[in-house]
Amino acid sequence: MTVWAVIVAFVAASNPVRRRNCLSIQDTRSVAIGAALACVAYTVIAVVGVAARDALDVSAPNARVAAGLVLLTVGLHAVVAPLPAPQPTITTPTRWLVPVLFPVFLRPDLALVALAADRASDVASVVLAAVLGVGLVVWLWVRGGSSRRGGTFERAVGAVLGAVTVLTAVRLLLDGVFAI
Amino acid sequence: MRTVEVLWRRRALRALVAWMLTLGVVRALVAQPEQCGTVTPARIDHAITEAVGWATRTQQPDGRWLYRYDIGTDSDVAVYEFVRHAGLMMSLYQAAAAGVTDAQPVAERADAYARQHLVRGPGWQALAPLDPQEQYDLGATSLYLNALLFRRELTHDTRDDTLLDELGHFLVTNVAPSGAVAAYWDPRTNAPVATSSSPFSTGEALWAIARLETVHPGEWREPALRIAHYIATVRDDAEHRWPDVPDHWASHALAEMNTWPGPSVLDEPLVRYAHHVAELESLEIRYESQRTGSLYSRVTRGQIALGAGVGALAEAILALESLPSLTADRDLHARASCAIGVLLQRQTTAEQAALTRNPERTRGAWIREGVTQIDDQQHTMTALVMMREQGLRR
Repeated sequence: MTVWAVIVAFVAASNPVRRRNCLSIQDTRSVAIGAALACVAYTVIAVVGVAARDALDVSAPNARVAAGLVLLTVGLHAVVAPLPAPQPTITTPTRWLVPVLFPVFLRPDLALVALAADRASDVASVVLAAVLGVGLVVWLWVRGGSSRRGGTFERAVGAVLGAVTVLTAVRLLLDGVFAI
Repeated sequence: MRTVEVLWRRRALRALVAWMLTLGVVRALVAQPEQCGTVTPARIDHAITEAVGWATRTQQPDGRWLYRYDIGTDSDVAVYEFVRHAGLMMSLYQAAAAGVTDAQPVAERADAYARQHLVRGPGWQALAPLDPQEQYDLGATSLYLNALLFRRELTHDTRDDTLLDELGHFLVTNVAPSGAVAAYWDPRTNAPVATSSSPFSTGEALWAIARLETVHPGEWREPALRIAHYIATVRDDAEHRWPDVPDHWASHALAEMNTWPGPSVLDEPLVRYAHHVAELESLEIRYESQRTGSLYSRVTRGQIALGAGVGALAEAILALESLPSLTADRDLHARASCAIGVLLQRQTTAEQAALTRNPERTRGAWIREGVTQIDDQQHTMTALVMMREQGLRR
């Protein structure tokens, strides 16, 4: 995986336009905690990726195939599905965990991309990509709050990011299939 | 319970289900365990010995083998083809050269049988089929020539050198100016069947001719390079082969051509082709190692491949590993080791054989769907010997 492939995968699949509606809380502190924990989690997954794959008996190319297939599903969903409706506000003390860390920032599709990281450069790419992807969601949330469901412009941006996710997924798939 | 807590729990549950579902489906359908087993020199040596034992026990007094054995009926099917006879003979000479002394007398008996079926033409000799009216399979002569080249390496006996050249001349007779190789030669027309081709015989001929160039340099270099470039640049399109042929024979040939003295003949198209074959073989090994033969595995991954198939995968990777452009690739060696591990797991043990109707015919063999054929032992033996010789040194 190249640095750019990982960054594009994270940014596109994070799809800030779609995710910010799911961030149904009010305080910035919880969002910051959840975002930071997500970045740490992706980094940890990338760092232990080789050991985890060995334990699971999965080669790096097959992990890339798996990540590509899941990203493909996520991307296609983003292309065809409407924007998620704004969720009711949650005010529990553990809101940094749900709905911030889960399901918005720490996601299985991106966890698989991080797991497929192989060389040291891939780990660095994941760290950078996670910060960018998560950071963009936070930035859009701070800037604009929730969007109206079905806003044409935002719907289009969400679909374009979905299409980019699909392209990235196909690249990841081919990279995995034709790897040595 | 307050509404907000219900909402929290509901969203937490949804997130948990999404994670479990995604990872569960991925594990169950996409990233199944690649079961590569444990590869050690002792296990490889044992497997080679067992395979040689099978070849010894199933060889008939005339030098032929039990060709395709059905363990359910304890019977051989009524066919015999020289291409696989010569192939197993070649593998046995390879094993003998690697120090498995028991393999040589078995190979010598097979050689004696094959020599009875050599036919002469103008300047050439070829291995004729059992039915002389049938077309000659070029693969049989290719593998027989290769077997004799391994025999020469083992015995240092040069008395067959004229025969080696004459077998080579027959192969070259079947090579078109384009580098395409006719898979069959027709004794009725005394000419190659120009329209015939096979995914295997082109590479088989190339490997034999390439090794002949190593032994008798000069004459064989040009046809070998012509065939190699045909395979690398034209073959799959010209012969309508899709997906591309992961040619283990050509992989052996490229490894051999890499040893020719002087500047490397492996130009950019050949290097690129070698890399492409490595990709294809790697893909197949990663897939095959996920097959276990269980019902679930059969549904999601299909039936396990033939021993010959897995052996050929390992052969190709091990051959390609010797090329300068690929030798440093650790992943490539991991794939070779995985394929060998799969072979070690699937060889019939003495204990498993004891449960069959005729243990003598099953022990040491690679059996699928209750059937084993001599090339199952041929390719696996070659792969195991190659791993023993080169792989474990890494």
